[in-house]
Amino acid sequence: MELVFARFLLLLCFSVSTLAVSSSSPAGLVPLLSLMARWTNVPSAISSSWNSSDPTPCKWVGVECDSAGNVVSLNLSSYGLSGRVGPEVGRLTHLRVLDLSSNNFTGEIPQQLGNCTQLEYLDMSHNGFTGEIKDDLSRLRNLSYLSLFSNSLAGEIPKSLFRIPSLEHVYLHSNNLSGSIPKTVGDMREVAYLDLHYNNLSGAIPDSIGNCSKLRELILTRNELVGVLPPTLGALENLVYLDVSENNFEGKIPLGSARCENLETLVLSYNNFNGRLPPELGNCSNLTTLAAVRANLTGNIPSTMGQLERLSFLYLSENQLSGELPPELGKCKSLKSLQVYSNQLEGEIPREIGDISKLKDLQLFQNRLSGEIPLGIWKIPSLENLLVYNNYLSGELPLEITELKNLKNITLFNNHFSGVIPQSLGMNSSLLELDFINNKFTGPIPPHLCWGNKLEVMNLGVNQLQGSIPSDVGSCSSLRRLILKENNFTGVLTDFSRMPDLLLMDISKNSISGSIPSSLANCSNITAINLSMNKLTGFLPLELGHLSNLVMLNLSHNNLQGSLPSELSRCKRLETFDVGFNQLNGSLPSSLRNWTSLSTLILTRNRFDGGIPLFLTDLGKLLELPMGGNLLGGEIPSSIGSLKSLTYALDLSENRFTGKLPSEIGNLILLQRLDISNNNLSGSLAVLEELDSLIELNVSYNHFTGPIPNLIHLNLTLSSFLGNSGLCVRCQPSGSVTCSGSDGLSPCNSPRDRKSLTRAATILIALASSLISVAVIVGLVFLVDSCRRNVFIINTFIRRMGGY
Amino acid sequence: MDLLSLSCCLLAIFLSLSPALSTNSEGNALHALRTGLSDPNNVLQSWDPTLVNPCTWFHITCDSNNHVIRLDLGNSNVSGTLGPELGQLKHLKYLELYMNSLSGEIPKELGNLKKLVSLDMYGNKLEGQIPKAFAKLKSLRFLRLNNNKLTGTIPRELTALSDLKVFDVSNNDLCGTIPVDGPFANFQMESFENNRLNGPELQGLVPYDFGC
Repeated sequence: MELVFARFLLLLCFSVSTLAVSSSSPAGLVPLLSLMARWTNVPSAISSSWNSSDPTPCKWVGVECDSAGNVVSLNLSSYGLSGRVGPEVGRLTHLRVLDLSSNNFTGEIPQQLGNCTQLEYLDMSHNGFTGEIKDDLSRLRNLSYLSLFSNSLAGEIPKSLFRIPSLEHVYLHSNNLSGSIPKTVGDMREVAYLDLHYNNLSGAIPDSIGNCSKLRELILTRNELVGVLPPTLGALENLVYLDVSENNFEGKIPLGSARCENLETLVLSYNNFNGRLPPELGNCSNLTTLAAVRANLTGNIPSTMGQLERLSFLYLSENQLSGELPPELGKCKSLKSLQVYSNQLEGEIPREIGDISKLKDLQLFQNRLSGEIPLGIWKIPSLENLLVYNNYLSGELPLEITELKNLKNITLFNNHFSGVIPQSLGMNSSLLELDFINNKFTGPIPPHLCWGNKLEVMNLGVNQLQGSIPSDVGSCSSLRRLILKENNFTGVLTDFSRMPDLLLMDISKNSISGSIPSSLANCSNITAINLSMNKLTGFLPLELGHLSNLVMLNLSHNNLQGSLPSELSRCKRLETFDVGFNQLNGSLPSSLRNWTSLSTLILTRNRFDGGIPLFLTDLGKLLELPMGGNLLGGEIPSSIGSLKSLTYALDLSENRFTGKLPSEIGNLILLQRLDISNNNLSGSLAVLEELDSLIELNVSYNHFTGPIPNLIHLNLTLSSFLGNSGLCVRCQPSGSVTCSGSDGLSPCNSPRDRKSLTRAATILIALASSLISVAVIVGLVFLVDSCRRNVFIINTFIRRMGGY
Repeated sequence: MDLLSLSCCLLAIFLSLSPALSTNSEGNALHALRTGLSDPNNVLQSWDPTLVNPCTWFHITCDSNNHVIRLDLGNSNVSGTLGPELGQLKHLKYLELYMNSLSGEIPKELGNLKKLVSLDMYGNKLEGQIPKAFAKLKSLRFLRLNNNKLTGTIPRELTALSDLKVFDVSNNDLCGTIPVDGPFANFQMESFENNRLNGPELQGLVPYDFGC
């Protein structure tokens, strides 16, 4: 009996204590523990603090309570937590602040969160939440700060969500939300920040947005929104930051009409407005950034832009803006960057632009501007970038350009500039990129362009510059690209010191003399060298073999001598090697078999001798092989057939090749152009019939015999075959060449349309027929002895044999 | 301003200040091609889209007017797909993309290449049909699409290509009949082998390309 009573007491005590735990246990401890149970990667800072044996959770990390011990704030931002947020969160009914941002939570945002009706601040941003934003969140009638950005939320924004009247901050950007912006957006009378960018929202902006009178920031970048910007948008007087870029908006831009003094940043880029930039924007006197790049703007730049005294950045590039740059722009005293490139602007650059004393960046390239650059622009001390290429500008560069201490990038290419480049250019500034290609500059290269040792691009090609290349160029260790082609430079090539960044050097089409300096090897990473069309002499330095990254080497049209150094084989990446039109001699070193990437090998017009090198078979990527005009001899080896990749041209003309064409030449089924003219080649041309891709052929001035090959679809003229007395023409409908008889080619006697017999077969037939004929003659002689009448028949027979 | 929106604001400014892609449409077309390709051998390393034209890029040949006339990417170990932008290379004469691992369909925009002489895409993994738009390639002499996974028929429209000298569609999965008109009168049977073709079209007797 005592046992039963004791047990009962024990049970009573136990249940009372449990009751005590649950009734005196503060609301929150159990739900918090249940929440944590769904988490992984819980750092020790939390797991050691969140102790289930604590009487209250109020001292736990991230937890705050009110005076009654209810959990009112849970902030676990940036703890690296993973797992899910369970429905237990809905039991924290006193919660006012919930911040789980910057963790790795996944799964859906639980609808039970709607039970936390006291919630004012909700931040779940920067996680991996998926699924839709639940309707239930609209029960959070006290919510003022809603941040769900940088997740993978999908589906539509619930209409009911925007009916929460207290919302001030709404950050839903960087998700996969779709559907339209709910029309209820106008119900958010208090909303100040509405960020919906980087989603898949479609449809138009609801007109009701005009009711969001407190709106300061509206960001809709990179969605699929369409339609016309609602005129009510223009009535939002508190708007400070408006970005609707990267959508498909069209039509009239309704901004600037109402009081827009608060607007500081307006981004309209990457849309399809197909209309003018509204002049009313000049009323937005506090505007600092105006960007409408590639927005399909037409018409003029309004002169009212001059009213924007606070404007720092004006980006109107890549539109169809026409007319002239308004001189009023000179009144934009705060302008730091003016970019109106890729438009159809014409007329002159107004001299008033020179009044913009803080201007750093002037990008007017790809327009139709003419006249001179106003002197005032050259006097703006802050100027860093002057990019005016692809225009019709003219005039000379004044001395003032040398005083621009901040000048970094100046690109004037494709204009009509003239005169001598001021010779102290570069000494007062750290130039970065200088590109004057295709103008009419004269005089020498300024000797200290690379003074600041920061110059990366020196492009002065296609001008009328003269003098010699200054040593400053060869010691410019920051240089990446050097283009001096098509000028009148003379003297010798400067020596090069360490230039590890130089990738491309083009000094072609000048009058440079002297030899190629071995110090060229100091351009250790160079990929392309073009020194063609100069007056270079001497030998190829073997140090060129150090250039292991060289892909293109063009030394053609010079006076280079000597043989190709075997060390060149170390340029394993070489794809194009052109030494045509020089006086190089010797034979090609066999080490060049290492050029396995070679696609173009041009040796035309030199004094190379020997035969066609056998190593050529290792060059499996060779596409074109012009070797005409040398002293090469011997027979064309059968290995020529292994150059199966030969496509564009095989030119062996004007050499001393002898013998017959190897049958393997028929393997070159990709070859389009074949020139073997002016050699001592003989034999038949029949093998050429196998060259399926041939569209141009020249075999003239050899000793070829036999019929002209049957090359269908080839527009051959007889000049392709001139100078081969043994060639004949098959005058047949199926032959490709017409027979006029007066072109120095005789018709073939044989009417047969067959490949000519091989030599062995010919001998055999001749032998057989002579044996047979001998036997017949002997037999006939016997008959003649008996019957003289048959002599006539024999004579006729013998005459027939002679014509065979 | 909220810190988040400030960073967004700075981002917008930064994007406008970064070096512009060239306004050269041919360079932009080639750059778009590059972004669709995987290039483990870095053969496209020199393709710098900020340069004013692509004429200093390797594997590109320009004429004297700085227009691209040759694109030589045969046997270059590239994979990926071809986009429509290649059709913007209006002066292109030689399009050499053979022996790679290109997949996806042949863009019909290639039919816009009016000056094309040679179109070699053999030895890839291309699927889909031979575009009818190829009939617009009036200068075409060489069309090699063999050794791919092309399906569908040989478009009859190709018989209008009077300069076509070499045509190879062998080793694909083509069906229907082989045209016999125009240049097709001269092509050997090897150009069509290893497909599911029903032999030469029998004009006037059976409808073309039945069962396909």
